[in-house]
Amino acid sequence: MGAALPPAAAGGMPAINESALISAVDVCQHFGEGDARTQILFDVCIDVVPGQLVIMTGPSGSGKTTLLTLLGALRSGQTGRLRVLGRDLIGMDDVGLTEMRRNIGFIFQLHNLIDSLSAISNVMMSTNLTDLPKPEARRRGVALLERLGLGHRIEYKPSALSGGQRQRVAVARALVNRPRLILADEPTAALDGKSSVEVVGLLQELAVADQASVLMVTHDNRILDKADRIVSMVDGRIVSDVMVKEQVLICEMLRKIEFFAALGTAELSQIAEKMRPRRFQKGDVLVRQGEMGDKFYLLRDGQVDVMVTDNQGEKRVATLEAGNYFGERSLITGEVRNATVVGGGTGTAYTLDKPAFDAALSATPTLKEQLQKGYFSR
Amino acid sequence: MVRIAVALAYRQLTHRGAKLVGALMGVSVAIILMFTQLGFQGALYDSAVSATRAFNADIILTSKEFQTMAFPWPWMPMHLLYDAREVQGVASASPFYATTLQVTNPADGRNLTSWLFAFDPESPVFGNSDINSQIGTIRLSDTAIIDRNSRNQIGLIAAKVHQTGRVDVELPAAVRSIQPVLKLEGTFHIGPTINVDGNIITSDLNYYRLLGVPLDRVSLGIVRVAKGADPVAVQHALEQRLGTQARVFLKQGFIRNEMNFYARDTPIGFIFDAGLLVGVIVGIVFISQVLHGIVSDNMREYATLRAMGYKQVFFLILVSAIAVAIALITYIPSSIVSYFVYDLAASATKLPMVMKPSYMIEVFLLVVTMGMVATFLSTKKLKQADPVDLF
Repeated sequence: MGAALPPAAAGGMPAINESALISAVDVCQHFGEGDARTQILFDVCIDVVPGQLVIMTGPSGSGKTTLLTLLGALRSGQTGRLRVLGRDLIGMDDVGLTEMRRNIGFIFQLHNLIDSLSAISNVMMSTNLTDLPKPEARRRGVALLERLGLGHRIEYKPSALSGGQRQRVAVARALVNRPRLILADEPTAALDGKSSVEVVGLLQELAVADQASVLMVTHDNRILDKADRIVSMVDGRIVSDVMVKEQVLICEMLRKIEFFAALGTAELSQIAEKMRPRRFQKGDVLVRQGEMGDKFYLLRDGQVDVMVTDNQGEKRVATLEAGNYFGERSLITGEVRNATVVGGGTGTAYTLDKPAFDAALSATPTLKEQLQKGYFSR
Repeated sequence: MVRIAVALAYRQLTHRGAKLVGALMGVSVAIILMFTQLGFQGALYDSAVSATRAFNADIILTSKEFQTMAFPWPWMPMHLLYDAREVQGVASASPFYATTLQVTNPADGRNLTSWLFAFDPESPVFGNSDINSQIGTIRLSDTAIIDRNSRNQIGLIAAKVHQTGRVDVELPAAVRSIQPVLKLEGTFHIGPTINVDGNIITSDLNYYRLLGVPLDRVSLGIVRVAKGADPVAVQHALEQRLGTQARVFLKQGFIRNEMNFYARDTPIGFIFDAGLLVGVIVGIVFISQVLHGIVSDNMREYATLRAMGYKQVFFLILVSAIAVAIALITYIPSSIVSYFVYDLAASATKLPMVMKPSYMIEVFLLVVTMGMVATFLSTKKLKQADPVDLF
């Protein structure tokens, strides 16, 4: 699992994330005109960084398909900011949108292959849009189909393939140009369980592992465990955005912290959900001595140096590593920070703001008292 | 991109297989209809000038009032030809007489109508060797030769002349005892016009003898220019000399004048053009039907291609390639069928129905146009292929 994290959007205005494949800020979309005008998307913000398999769920009518078609440059966006693969989609003309799509792989609920073309010709309908020389394109298409277990079906037309095989051809067609972004709409809806897991596994193996990202609308809970991240939408709003795998990691780290150790898994994951990643470089100051504390930090990766300044000047008192935490004391005691914490290299820390931290502690009141007693007595 | 579109067009077309047969046959019928219209129109125009074409002439003189051979010809006085002979560059100016003639059918006693052409055997006006080799025959009194391409009953008489060497026909008169008899003793080939079934040729003297029309009343003056003389310059010189009393046509101009009469001053041109238009419309309807079928059936495929980034122009090329392919697939067999239709029509009507390269080209261009129009009509449907509908 790479360091695929959402941006530090917890506080302040959300901003366009330049390193993300998708960065949507306050995207709203309406359908219809006049009295019939209804809003489908409400201030949707989402960033998708490279190397994620994002599953988007939600009841039908929640706007997830609308969002998918917006991200895929399949319809023109109305308001907000929407950057996909480095280009602003809102306000882009039809020709621009059409050209934009060439950089995105699409997989549909139905395979949508061209009936009159063989598997390899279908795959090459994608490469035809690139400058790739035909023999090279064909070689690549064949290799991909072989990789997908269709080496013996290359010249077969869709009518001679099974449902799973057709969808695998569709996957090959979406992947052959090695797009950095793949959008899929219920790609497993027409497949049996085995084929579903297989197809998603292949997406993960062939795209996500290569730092591409897959955004998949699905209700298929057979494949939920493959997701790096699950985004839920209800009534045109993103109601939850969970980094599933990251979540597990944070919970494991939290569990090892003595004052959270007493909490159950449910409470831990609630805390984890509220934590926001903060990336830092060498020299970045995370906590400054003498300032009021407003966040609790859990170091996910990288290392930080803890510096204390006294009469003799500044000196390093400790170096913290992944799994270590800091910044809790000031939150508990209400005093100023007693040390400065500086990044010792590139890394990520998860932060929990004071209200959430307090809420977590109050989940076990006795623990809170003990802790407070302990810190005040020092 | 064009290559890919054309390749996909081919695949999608062949993928339909037998579904196409009906529509292809419809398009074929439209093409055959177009060929037939053009063929009949051309045959009609050509038949009107087949005698003119046979003239061994550079320039044709007519009376000032002459409009068309289709109307009774106003005559011109013989002396104009004498004047013409004096004009520089004129090698010969020969009189030509023409009239429609009633003859009695020896088989059933009914009257038949034929053209009667006459000229001075000393200065023949036709270029046909089969006519010129029988000058001796028409010199004989009351003797004539008949067109073997004649139609209907006259055609039968001509066939009999060809078989037996001679058929006598009576010219109807009020009193039987003075009925002249015309001896038909040979045949030639020119071809009938649309409204008159046959042609008979005789000498000027026989013409006078049979009809009593003074030979001073010339129908046309057939002028040949001297070797090396420019026909256009001679035409101008003749106009200078005779301009107030005669019309002076180049041979091609005379033919054009005749054709223009049919094309513009009679409903015939309009009728055949309308027929051609019907053919074009039928063709468009059938090609559109095929395109509509293919586009509707492949809506999802086109939407998918759009989602992949294919632009509208790709679909236009794709559909026009399908349309042109349909046009070509049907054009070739249809033109072969039309060739046989022409053959059949020519033998039935004795009209000069021939498949000309100009028809082949005209129909081909019309067929391609049909394909383009059908493509244009399908663009609205094509635009409905929206990738958003795939979700």
